[in-house]
Parts: sequence; C-alpha cells; structure tokens
Amino acid sequence: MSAPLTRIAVFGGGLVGLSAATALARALPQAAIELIATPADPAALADRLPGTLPALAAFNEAVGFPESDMLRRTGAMHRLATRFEGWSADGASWLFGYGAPGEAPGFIHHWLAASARGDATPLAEYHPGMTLASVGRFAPGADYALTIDPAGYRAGLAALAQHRRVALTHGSIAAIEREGDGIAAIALADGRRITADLFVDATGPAAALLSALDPAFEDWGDLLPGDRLLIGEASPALVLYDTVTALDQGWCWRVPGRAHTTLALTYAAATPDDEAARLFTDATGQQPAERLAFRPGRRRSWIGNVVGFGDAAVVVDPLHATNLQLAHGAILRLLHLLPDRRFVSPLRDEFNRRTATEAGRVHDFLAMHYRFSPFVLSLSKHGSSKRPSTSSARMKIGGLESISPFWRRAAAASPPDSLGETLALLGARGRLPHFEEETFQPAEWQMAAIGLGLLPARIDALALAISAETRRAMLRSARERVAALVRAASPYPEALARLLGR
Amino acid sequence: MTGMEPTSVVVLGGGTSGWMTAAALARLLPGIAQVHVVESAEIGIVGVGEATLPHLRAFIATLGIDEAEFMAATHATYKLGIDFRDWGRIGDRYFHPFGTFGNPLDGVGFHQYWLRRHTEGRQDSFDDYCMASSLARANRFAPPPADGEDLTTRYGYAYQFDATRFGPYLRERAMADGVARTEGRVVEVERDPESGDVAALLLADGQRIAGDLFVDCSGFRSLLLGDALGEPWQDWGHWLPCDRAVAVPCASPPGPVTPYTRVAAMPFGWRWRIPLSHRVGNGYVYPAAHLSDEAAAAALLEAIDGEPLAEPRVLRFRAGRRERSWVKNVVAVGLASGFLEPLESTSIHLTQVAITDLVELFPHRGILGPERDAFNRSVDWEYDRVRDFLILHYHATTRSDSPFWDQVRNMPIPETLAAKIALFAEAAEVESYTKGLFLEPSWLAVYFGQGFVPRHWDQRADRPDGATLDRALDGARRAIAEAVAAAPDHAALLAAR
Repeated sequence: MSAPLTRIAVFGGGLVGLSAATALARALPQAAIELIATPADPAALADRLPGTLPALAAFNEAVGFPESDMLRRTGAMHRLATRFEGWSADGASWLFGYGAPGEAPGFIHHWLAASARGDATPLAEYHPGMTLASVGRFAPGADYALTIDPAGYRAGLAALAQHRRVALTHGSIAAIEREGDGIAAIALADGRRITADLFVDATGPAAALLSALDPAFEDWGDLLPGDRLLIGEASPALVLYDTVTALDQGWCWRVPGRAHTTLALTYAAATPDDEAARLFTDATGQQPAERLAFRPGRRRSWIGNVVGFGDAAVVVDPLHATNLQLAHGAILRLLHLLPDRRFVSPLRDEFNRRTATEAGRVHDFLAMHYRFSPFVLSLSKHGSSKRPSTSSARMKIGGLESISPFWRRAAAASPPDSLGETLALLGARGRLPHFEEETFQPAEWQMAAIGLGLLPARIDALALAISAETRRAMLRSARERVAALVRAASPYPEALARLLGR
Repeated sequence: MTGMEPTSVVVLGGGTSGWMTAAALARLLPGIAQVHVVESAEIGIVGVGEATLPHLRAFIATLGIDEAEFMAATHATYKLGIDFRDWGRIGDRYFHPFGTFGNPLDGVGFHQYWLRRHTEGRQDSFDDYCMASSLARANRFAPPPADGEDLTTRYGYAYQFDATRFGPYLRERAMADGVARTEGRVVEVERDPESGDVAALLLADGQRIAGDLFVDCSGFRSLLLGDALGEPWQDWGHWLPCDRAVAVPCASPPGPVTPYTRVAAMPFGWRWRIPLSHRVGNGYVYPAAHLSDEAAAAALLEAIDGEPLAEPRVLRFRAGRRERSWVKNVVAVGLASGFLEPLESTSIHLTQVAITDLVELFPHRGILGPERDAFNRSVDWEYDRVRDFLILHYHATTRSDSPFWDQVRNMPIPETLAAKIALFAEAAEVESYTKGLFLEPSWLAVYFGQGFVPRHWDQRADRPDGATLDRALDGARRAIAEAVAAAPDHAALLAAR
C-alpha cells in the first residue's frame, strides 16, 4: 500500500544540498539519491557564511557527523558570543550569548530588578559563554556555536554523502518538465534527463525548481533593510566572539576563523558601490574581495514533489548567523514528515506551516535589532514613533537628514502582528509571548532586547516580590558559578589544541 | 520590601478557583498583591470528586505544601491516567497515561515501529509499552524519580481528591499568608464611570469592597466578566453537546483502589469513576437534549459499584468560553472564564494555567494592554487545544448505538482538529506544538486506543529488520513488566502512609 520514495534528486552542490542529501541518505538507505551540483551561486548565503548556531550540533548528530571531526577535519572553531558595537541607544557595546544567564527561572527579571536599584553588574557576568568569550577562555559547560570553514565542512559532508552512496554529479538545468503541481523531470545542459520521486531545490536564491512552480516571494525588505554584501578577509584569529558593528549605512561583521577572519559589510542598494567599498575599508582596514546582492524574504518551500532548503526557501542577512540553521532545521523537519510517492497534502501543509513559522520568527528577531538600532531610535525620537519617515519636515529640523536610507527603511515599516506583540510585551514586562518553532529561546530574545536598550517599563512582579537579600544571594551564587567556570577554563588556543589532540 | 503600595486584589468566589488564586498570589507575590476574598456560603461549590493532572504537583510544590499532608486532608489517591472504556467501540478499552510509550530509535518515534510491527501482524497492545499504563493495570503505584529518563521511570502522576476539601485547605494557608476574607453576597458591581473598570463590590450587608484588580471566580455565573462587563460567550455546544452531569458518591467497594480514573462511554455520553481514599466519586455526563435527568440518574445508580452515599445531584453547564478572560481590570479564572467537560480532567488545570499567567503578568502598577493581551492569547491557546483533544474522543468512534453517538460521530469538527487528524491518518505524525495540554503521547493514546489506524508510518521505521525490532519490543515489555512487579500495591501504599 505504501509507495516509498525510491529516487531522490538534489539540485545544488553547496553545504545545503549536501546536508540534505546526507540526511536523506541516512533516513532512506534504500533510496537512490543523486546530487547534481549546479553552478554555485555566490549569493547563496547559507552555503558560504562561516557563522552557525549551537543547533548545528543536533543536525550533525542526526546525520552522523561527529563534532570532533568538525574540529579536526573541517577547520571549525568555537564561538561563544557575538559582540554588538554601536548598536544600542547609549552607544555601549554588548555581548549576546547562547542559553540563559543565571540558574533560577526568570533570572533575567531578578537581574533587571537589581539594575533598577542601582546594581551596575552587567548581565554578561552571569552568563558563562559571554564571560568566557570576553576573557578568551574556553571550557565545556557554556553553550557555544561553531564558526565553520564552509569549504572544509562541505568537503566533509561530501565524503559522508559518498559513503552513504549518494551519487555526486555536476550539471546545469536546461529545462524543467512539469507534471501536475510538481516536476516530472529536469533536463540538464549535458543532455541528461533527471527523473525522481522527490526533487530537492538547494540551488540558492534563484530557487530554480521552486520558482518554476510558483514565482510568489514574500519580500522582507521593509524590516530587513540590507540587500548587498561586500565580503573580504583578514588574518586568522582564535577569538571566541564575532563582532557586529552598526555603521551609518549598514553594519559590518567580523568573524574570526582558524584559516582567516571573514569580513562582511551588509548595506542597501541605495549606497553606491564605491562608497560601500570605502566604508568597508574604513571599518575593516581591508579591501573587499567580492560583492553580491541578495533579497531577504521567503517562498513556499514545499510544492508538489519539490522541497527547497537554504536560500531557495528563505533569505535573511547574516545578522545572528541563522542562514544555515534555517536550512538544517527544515531538513530535519522533512525527515519527520517524509512523504511517499503520493505526496498527499497533510504532510506538506504541516511542513510548510512549521517552516513558515520558524522563518517568520527569525525575521522578527532580526527585525527587532534594526528597529532598535540607535539610528532608527534617533529617527523615532524626532518623528512619530510608528512611522518616523513620514514626518520628514520635523526630521530636517532635527538635523536628521543625514540618517541613511538603510536605517530609514527599517524605521518606516510597520511590524507584523507577531513582532508587534513581541515588542509590546518585551517593552512592558520583559517577557516573551509564546510562539512555536522559535530559533532563539526566550532568554536569548531577552538578552538581545536588553542589549539593544529595549528595557521593560515595569519590573516583573515576581522579581519584586523577593527580598533584596534573597536577590543578592541569588545573583552572587550565579556570579560565583560563572567565576568557577572561568577558573577551570583554559585560554582558547590551549583548549582548542587539546580538543584537536595536539 | 518593595517600597511600593501593594496592588489590591479582590477575588470574588471562594471555591477551588478562588482559593487557588488567593493562595498563589499571597504566596508568590508577598508585598505586591494584597488579596481579599469575597465568598458567599449561600453559593455552593461545584467540585465533585475530582481528578487532576500532574501539573497540579508543581502548583502544590510552589505553595510549599507537603504532599502527604495535602493528600490526607483531601482524601487523595494517586492517579496514573485514565482508563477509557467503550469509546472506539463497545467493549474496547485503552489507557491514557501520564507517561510516554517506548523508546525512540535512531531519531524515529517508538510508535512508528510499533505501528509497523502491529500492521505486520504482531499481537500486542500499545499500552504494554507504557510504564504508567502497565502500573495502573496492575493497581500498583510507585512515585517516579524526579529525573526519570528510563522507559520504566519516565512517567508522572496526579491526584484524585475531594475537591470540596481542596478550597478550604488552601483557604487556611492563604489566610495564614495574609489573605483577607469577607463573607457576603454581591448585590451590585460599582463601575468607574470614566474607564468602565470595576471599582468596588457592594455586598448585601452594606459593605463596599474596593480594589485595583478583580478576579472573577464566581463560577458559571461569571458575575463580573459575564454579567457586569458583558463579555460575549463563545459557545462550543455544537462540538461538545453534553451539558449536564449527575453526580453521586458511593462507598468504596472491597478490592483494589485503582490508581486511575475510569471514564466509560455510555449510550448518551460518558460516566466517570474516581476513587478517593474514603469513597468513590461517580457521575454521568450527558446532553439534556438526548437524556432526562431522571434517566441519567437511574443509569448512574445502576452502574456504580458501591452503596450510594447521597442523593444524585444534577449540574448544568455549557461548553465554551468568554471571548476574552481579562477585560479592563477583571480577570476571570476557572468556570467564570469558560468550561470544558471533565473528560480529560482539565478543569483545575485550566484554572492553574490562568493563575500562573496572572502571577507572571501581574499588573502591579496599573493595567497595561500588553499584559492583558498576552494573558488572553494564552487562555485562547490552552482552551483551543483542550477543546480539539476532547472532540477527538467523540469523533474517532464507530459507535452507532444511539442518536447521540450518530450525532457526534458525524458532526463537523474544527478545522484545526481536521488538520491534526489528516496528518496522523497519513503518516502517524502528531501535530507539533510545545505549549498547551496534551502532547504527542496523549494524542497517540487516544488515536490508537480508539482504533484509529494511520495509512502509513514513517518510512524510516522500515530500516531495521523485523526480528531486530521484535527483540527490542520484547525487551521493552520485559523491562516494564519487571519494574511493575517490583512496585507496591496502590491501596497498600495509601494505607501505609
């Protein structure tokens, strides 16, 4: 009665395509899987960016790629935090780490209550990852992400895919033969004709397969204003945090790595290319090596017998390094909702529902950063807080015409309901309304909001209800736990050498 | 010390919801919430013998209550889940446990493998792979370790208790924590002419009880939210047509004390049996349109297994909820906010969720929209999920022995539920959500228990060969059987306390 998938064709030879092929090969050992590496699209961000999130470990475990191999064979290193510079109302830099600070539930509310009473201890001192990152030491026990060398990781996945009998070939798409609401076959330029039960679109933002079935694209440019990237390199560095710096026409990203440090400037098309190049050099001291355009947004990612991952499904800028995670999350979701050859709609509907929710919440998380950048806040202060760009006359009086279109656009758009509710409750109480499929957990939303200066109007009642003495004891115990972890940690180069067995 | 004036909270109603709210606010928000309960002895408490969910243990622990003392005070027994009889078909039996089924294997849920082998002819019951269900069948009970991760320790438990004693028990504690109490009947609700907020309650004896925040725990009458503020009622009677219950306690029969509640489908609804330490609570839930009160009472008395200890008492209700539970400065908790029939013991739980949300979002310096919106959103979320789960019980059946079953079997169901069922029917996948009651094991218990067989299982479950799977399945059954044999008898455990 069941009609299992017997033939799967994956289009796209980058990290995303190989991730999908490897995962599917493990899930369906009987299926014949071919990966056709289409010409690489440099704008496929999930295929090429070095930043990942802690959840990469879960994906690697699910596909059977040991973390020790990530470190020893693919050139990955640890990353404990992101440092934000110039990205808060008071101009102070701040760290964003993974997991929750403190031990007690609602710890952040107790910290907020203490700060409101004059305790100046930064939140980072209660957070293992942030503290270790700032002192350059590493120890297991803090939540971490990996900075990958995309080429090294790609090679590792390719070896694993071949081991799982995935056929790796090259080709470019010449024509797509449609059938019903899906694809019957794809003709390649070399004359081959690829048929399959399931087609995977990992071709990058062009979404060669999905866009042939449905051109609709949900554009996120209003709240995610970046659509250009300049990319360059600097010398390697064993630094445990990456740095994000807000500039007047975009933001600059510095990601330390073992082979080299990756530099990137995210800006908008309104900035002329030569001016962007100058900004890049001013900010990094290096020349950009590559320029590319992208368009943030998403498309329906499962249509008929075609499922898209990575930039073919959703495009966001590199802030918070979510690109590869969005691809991996969707791949693992497909494994749970694997169709058979009949491709009935309930599985597809559930996949699309959850995938859209997940992407939407990442959109909201990133959009919060743009909305609470000092540039946008300065616009809001002078105009109406909702639509500052409509009160241009008043902005000129305030001398704010110098704010670039990059930030103006982020200020002008009205947030979707999900973001509106989130900002309202964070602003009122420092709490998160519940959403499913969150990539960032509540404490991570809260840490970002606090860093951005989005502080709750009211201290949580539960935090006010405990005595000052109890609160001090709770804070002290959390600080001491972090301090003990720091003492047990080693300087990162030593810790890494140990993990590499050197 | 907070250096702030406390927020004055008036709780209207001294039933289970009222005293749960008062006790929680007083214990968790000392110095922040000054609580005043207005209760009337003229108004009865709905509580009949009640079964609860494991979450109640967290509530009790948060209030610093000693479990043994609480259980003694409320004549409580342990509950491992619900024994469902005659639901999918007359003669069927399944258990909805507080626990999980089997161990996942290679990233794929246990039920997928079980479904495959079951379809391939293996003869056993899904229940056999759940420790809670297996313990319950043997009338044994042992509290699980807090961090149980093993197949034989991964379960929870709740209580079956006398709800009429729970309120008074909490009242004592709440009053020790500084809650004020006034006995009196509300004759008028004074509103602020500007804001429309409730300003004070005027009592029959002339007292005026003013407050900043009013918690409506007045039960089905919903005096503040429904009557005073006129919040519309969203009726779900077309999905959950039962609107009456007749209840009667009876003497405990000789023999085992079941560590579970029994819920038996009847020709016109269903019957509960909840064993307490000193007696058994019974009731028949039915739609007045199909069955008279007299006939229901007669059927109930016929079915109970002990000497009745009181006259049968009829309760009236309707399924649904107020569109919003928090409006202006009035928050409704419990029956004043909504009602779902007690088929899955959710009543006290929905009260508890509302209290937890109220504590977390407590408006201590005037009420702001975001807190209220977040509270209402959370209530919607919880109610909608429970509603869909309850409707599933009536929908996934082949019973056709009465006009009632013909009606519920064929009624249109909410789209949200239809999508969940379609997903399960195709691939044995339970729709994923993390907030709200009834996660995957519960849905699996009811689907499989009511004979709902999916067309396919996860293709990844085809990877191991059948003999390998059978060895794993046999091993799991054996481990559970051994752990069950080592657990004490439930009645003996209760008697030894």
